[in-house]
Amino acid sequence: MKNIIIYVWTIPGFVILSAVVEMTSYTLFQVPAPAGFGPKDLVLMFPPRILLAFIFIFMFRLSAGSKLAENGPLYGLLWFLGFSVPAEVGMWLVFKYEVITFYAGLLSGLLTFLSWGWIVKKIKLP
Amino acid sequence: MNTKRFIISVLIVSVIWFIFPIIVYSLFVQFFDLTPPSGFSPIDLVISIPLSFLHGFAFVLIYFLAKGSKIGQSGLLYGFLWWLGAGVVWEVGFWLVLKFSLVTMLAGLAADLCLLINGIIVEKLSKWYE
Repeated sequence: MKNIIIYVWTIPGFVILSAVVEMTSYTLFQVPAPAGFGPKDLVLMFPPRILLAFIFIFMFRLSAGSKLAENGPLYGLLWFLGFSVPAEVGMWLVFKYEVITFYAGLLSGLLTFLSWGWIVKKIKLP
Repeated sequence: MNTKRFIISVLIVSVIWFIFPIIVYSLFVQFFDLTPPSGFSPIDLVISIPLSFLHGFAFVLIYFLAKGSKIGQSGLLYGFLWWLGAGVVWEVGFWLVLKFSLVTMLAGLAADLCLLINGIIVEKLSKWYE
């Protein structure tokens, strides 16, 4: 039961946090989201984000007892390098939007995964 | 961590991650009438090479650092979690938001199956010198 409860509050929290970080990053750089990405799309992205948050937490939990489990922000940084950067660069190559929009996307990914990594280490996973 | 083993793993994983999707997308173009993305030039393909190494580096380093844990014992599980967490999220996300066609999404999901192959390879290589 404790297992499920941990996921029940953590996953929605992670999803909301990533959405807030994304909106803040694009606002900070004063650029529109790529390819007309709007509020409706932000809602559409919730199911994939839920899956991503679950996998992020689940993988960290399965790494218990290893060096990886000792450093949450490092875990987040590696997810940023292996997931966010290829996705952002790939989208940028295909859609050819402005570099500043690309930077906003990168900042959003970096802050999201670092904060997720920090939180996943702080919470006591069963 | 054995540096030689780590570098070889990164190289192999990166090459597979770069080449496998090209083969899969080519097959989808040939047999399922997939339309290749417009405006994707050969230079873009060259830019993708360091990107593959970056992904390979992160993929292998997470697995190597997870040594001694449950995830560090099963490369297939590790690859499958990457496929779910990265591959499915990327492809379904692009399909939903960027209105990619269903065939493009399926091609992407098939191409991302290289993450499973890479998981198995990293596990085998991590045990190579033991």
